[in-house]
Amino acid sequence: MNPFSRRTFLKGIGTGAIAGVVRPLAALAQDAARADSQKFGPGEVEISLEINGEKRTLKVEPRVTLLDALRNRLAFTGAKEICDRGTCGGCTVQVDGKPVYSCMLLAVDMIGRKIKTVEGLARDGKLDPVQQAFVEQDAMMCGFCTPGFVMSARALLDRNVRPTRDQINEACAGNLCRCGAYPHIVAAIEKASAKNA
Amino acid sequence: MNRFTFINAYTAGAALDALKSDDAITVENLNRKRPLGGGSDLLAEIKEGLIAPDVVVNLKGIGGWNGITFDSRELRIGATTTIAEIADAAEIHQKFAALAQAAHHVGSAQIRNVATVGGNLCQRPRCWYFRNPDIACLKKGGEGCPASVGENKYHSIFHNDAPCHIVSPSNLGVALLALDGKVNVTSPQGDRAVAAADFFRLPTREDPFRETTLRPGELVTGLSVPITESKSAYLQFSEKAEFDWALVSAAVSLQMSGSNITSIRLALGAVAQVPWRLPAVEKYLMGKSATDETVLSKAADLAVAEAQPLGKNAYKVTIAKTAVKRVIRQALGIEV
Amino acid sequence: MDAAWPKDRKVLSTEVHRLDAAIKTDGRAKYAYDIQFPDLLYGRILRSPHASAVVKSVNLEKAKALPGVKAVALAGGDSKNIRFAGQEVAAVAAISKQVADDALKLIEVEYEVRPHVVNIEAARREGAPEVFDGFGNAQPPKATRRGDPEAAFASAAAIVEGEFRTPVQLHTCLETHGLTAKWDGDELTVWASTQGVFSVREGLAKNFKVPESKVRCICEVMGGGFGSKFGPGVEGGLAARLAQDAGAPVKMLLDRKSEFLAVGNRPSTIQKLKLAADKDGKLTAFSCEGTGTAGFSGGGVSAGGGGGVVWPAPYIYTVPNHDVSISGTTTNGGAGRAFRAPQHPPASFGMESIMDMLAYKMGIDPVDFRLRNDPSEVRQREYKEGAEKFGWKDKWHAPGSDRGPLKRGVGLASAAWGGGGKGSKAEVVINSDGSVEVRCGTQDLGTGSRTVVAIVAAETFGLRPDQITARIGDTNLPFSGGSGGSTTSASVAPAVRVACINALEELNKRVGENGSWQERTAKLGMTPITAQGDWQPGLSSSGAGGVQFAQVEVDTETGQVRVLKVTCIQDCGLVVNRLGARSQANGGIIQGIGYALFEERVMDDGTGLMLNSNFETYKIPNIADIPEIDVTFLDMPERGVIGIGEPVHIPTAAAIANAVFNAIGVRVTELPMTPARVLAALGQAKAHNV
Repeated sequence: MNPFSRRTFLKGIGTGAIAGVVRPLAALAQDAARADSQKFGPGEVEISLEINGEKRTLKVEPRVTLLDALRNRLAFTGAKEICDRGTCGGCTVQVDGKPVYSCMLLAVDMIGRKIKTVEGLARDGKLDPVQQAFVEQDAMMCGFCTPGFVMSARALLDRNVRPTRDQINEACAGNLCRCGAYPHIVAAIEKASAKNA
Repeated sequence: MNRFTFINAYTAGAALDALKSDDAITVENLNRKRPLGGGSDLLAEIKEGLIAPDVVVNLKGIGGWNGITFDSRELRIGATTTIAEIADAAEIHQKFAALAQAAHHVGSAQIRNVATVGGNLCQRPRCWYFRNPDIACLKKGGEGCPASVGENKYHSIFHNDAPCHIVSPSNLGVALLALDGKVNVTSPQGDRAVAAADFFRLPTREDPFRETTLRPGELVTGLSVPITESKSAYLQFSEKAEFDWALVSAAVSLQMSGSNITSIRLALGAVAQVPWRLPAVEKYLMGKSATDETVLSKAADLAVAEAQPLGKNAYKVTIAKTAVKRVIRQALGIEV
Repeated sequence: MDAAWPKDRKVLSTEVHRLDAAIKTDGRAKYAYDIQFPDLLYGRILRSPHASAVVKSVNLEKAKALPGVKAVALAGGDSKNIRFAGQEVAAVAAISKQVADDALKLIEVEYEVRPHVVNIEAARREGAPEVFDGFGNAQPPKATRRGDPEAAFASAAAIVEGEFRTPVQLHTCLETHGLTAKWDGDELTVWASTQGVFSVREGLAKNFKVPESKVRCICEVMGGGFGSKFGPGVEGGLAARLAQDAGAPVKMLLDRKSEFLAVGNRPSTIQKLKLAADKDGKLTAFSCEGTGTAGFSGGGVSAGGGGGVVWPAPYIYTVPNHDVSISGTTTNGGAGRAFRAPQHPPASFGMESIMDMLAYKMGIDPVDFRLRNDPSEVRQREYKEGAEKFGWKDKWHAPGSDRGPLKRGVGLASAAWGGGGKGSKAEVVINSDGSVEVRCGTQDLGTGSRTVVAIVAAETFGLRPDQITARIGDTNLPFSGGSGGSTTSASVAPAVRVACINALEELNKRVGENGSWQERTAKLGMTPITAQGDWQPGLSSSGAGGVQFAQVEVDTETGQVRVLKVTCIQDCGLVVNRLGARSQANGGIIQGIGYALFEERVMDDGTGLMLNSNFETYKIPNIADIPEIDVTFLDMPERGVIGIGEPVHIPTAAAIANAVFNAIGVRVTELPMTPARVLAALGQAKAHNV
């Protein structure tokens, strides 16, 4: 007996789903309407990505990461390649509103997702409140980690307008700063949070 | 990274088709085609040059594999559900605290947002000999385990007669073992549910390549946990406060009558090649007071009675004892 | 007009936002790594996977033939003899990172693998393989002797002994080493991640035998150096060579693993120390027998030097009788390089640990013990003020006396740093629209040098810093030296001040002193004012101390150490930017926390390879490891500008180690103080060793 075949699982979604966690049924229906599979590469394929609200078309091999695509094929150099292994946060961007390591995602896997880079935060030439707070609190030294931190902090405040210090730690532990700007980064996030509320 | 073909699979059947492989257990068969969940581990393996798959099959588009559901009997979580979704689910915190806490300790926020249940259960070990492309080891088809006499501070303290001394890195695996959960698997031969204890496997001389009982071409579709009245907890001790692998972790699920334990499942993590259940400790604790310090100390001693630390990891034995005591206290809401 | 710093300062010594803060928050700041050209090629280096080997042959043909590969080169120099795993063998430039990676795999290298030694004990053993044939791995000792230490030990009231160990620490700059190189005919322009645009230029000019006037180095912003980025490095030379061969610009920024293996480190130390005092608690005798390893080399010219093993002992203390002998050990590891206060943090850890031991042995309060023995008047003040601010008297208790598994403790340690700095030149242009440009060929490592330039000019002209255009980081600008040794502000600020004073005199002469800045500059018409200034004495000085106090909490059942609080009292002359100075102090302390608790290069004896060349296992502090940090600057404006980047880093690890002793009553004598070492010190882990 299999307590977890796909059929029972789908049935489960109808009966006891947790709000906000489960994929919308509409999306599942869409999935079903598609072909069984879709193949890319191994050579270059043309894809479209939505970056900072704009559609961008580019050619990539499937092995090209989102970070490489952003930096070296589209000139979004705000996201930095520091470790290239998902350990430092320098490449943090938001995908569908969530902070992720763009060095550990494939560009071809980002089709249909909403990508936001640090270049897309400012509005009408005005810095985002998080960016402004980083400026005011001197929340950087060399600045190489800063775009990644800003993206993590922005995502945190979008979810939680008044984070505690522990919540800031959790949200930003995936971003490294070698200059040691952390105390001022905390101050900046708290300042931006105060403005938020 | 090497060049590979990328396939978006939208059905389980398509994924199995794309991953179809010769069934023989070889490094080649296990790695020529690989499934992709969040990619945190897979892409690292490819970038490091540990593997060079021809085909990468994306499972995230498979309908019905993402989500958290309950019925009266069990909790089910699909394979492509992210760790963040588990860590953020209030119901899981309430009823399956060990699982939520285990998820909470996975990686960093960025990793939890992409890492999947399937990937967490199937991720390869963090052993720094294994992860170094310039070092041959049993797991990669080489001779011997350099960790046995080398730098083994992060390695196993149990079952060290085994030919390989990695530790299982899966947080969820430890919680799942304590919660008596199952891993659901699909293969061209059909679907099956595997008890957590049978999902993870110890390395053998003949087959040091796999950490799980998955055969080439098989896939995890999700996990399920029975709904019980148990209280549970997961904790881990690391060198750093956040975003670090466990030196030792522990998970417990228990039921009480007053201060006495009436049922208990207890497991340690990062101490052996698999999540490490402690049946002797469970047996000892049955019917005893969970708030009695002497009892907890005896349980802690019993937990490590069969430890065989390597040259540089005896300290993990001490931490394992602490983990046993504290995870029980944590489950019962008692301060350190 | 007198160039002396004004007594009444409007901009200097206030909190000024760094000029480039905004562009660092939104991705506009362009690092060497962000430079783009339409025909840009990506450089990658093939490195030896063996710690010791001779390269018998290298076949580049297959790599060359790969479509998309535009140039291939051998590493050159002494690259046939491999002395550490990670040493450069060959390099490629290709149209994408992917093609460059593919090309590396096609390079065939035949190695004759030789025996290696990667750890000190193995390297000093009789019959050990020699890293350099014919030269023993034990280097000739540097010895100093004073008075009669044997007699002084014999008559001492109290003696303590101990062996202290510090690890090889890696700089781990977030922007890796490297540069983007572009040739136009015989002229070379490089965008480098560097601490010294002029030293990079010099290195490349020598390398390519072209006049320095034909080489330009630009560094607008850079992602951290910490002492490791003074020269072009092997990677910079290779980038320029590949660019020349390919006839296209090449970007060569190292991958993370290479950064761990090949571009410097802080050497390890093993310090056998002995210290004695008379019955009044005055130090009478000291001995130190030491070694350490800076890998295969202490850092050559291209690396910037400063990476040797030998540390100052008895460090900040004066001991009338002492015997010090330190002999470096050559191993098959990456070369040492200057790293934030080279040699001082290990010196501080050893000396302050043994000082603490003697204080406790004699029953003297650790603060009082320093007051009795530290000859520095400034630090005498810092001990007293620091103890007060930190709450030493309330927080101190008998070692290990907290009940329960979580035990708190406090400790302190001190620093000394020379610093100084001179030789910078600056130029100021005042335009008729009132705009001001200050030009100085220094560079900003993140220390805020660009803002320092603007602050000094703004103060002198009565403007705001954001009204100043500070041009730095370019060899086309007036000369300024490398940014190291905490010398930048002390070198740059006076030059800018003098240039601005000269410009102001010229302005006054031409348009008079009346009217607003705008009204006066408007009268300049077609001819802007251009004035130069050279560094001159009297505006800056050298010599800083600094004392830090730490409070920790140790979990004696897991060995985990958490730093709860660090109080830093730092003398610093005339503070230029109080906000930037605080950032730097925080940063120095946080790197010290890494040194104390997490950071350690792990070399495998069996394979000769570094096992933790990544951020997963070479652990640096993250946001959750940060304690409450309280920084107080002792302003001494009369001394002029003094750099503080290094002294703020020196004593942190030692203060934390002393706090751990106070918490648990057992001394952890080796850094980093990991759970493994803390539990070993507590003797709990040992019992389980079969």
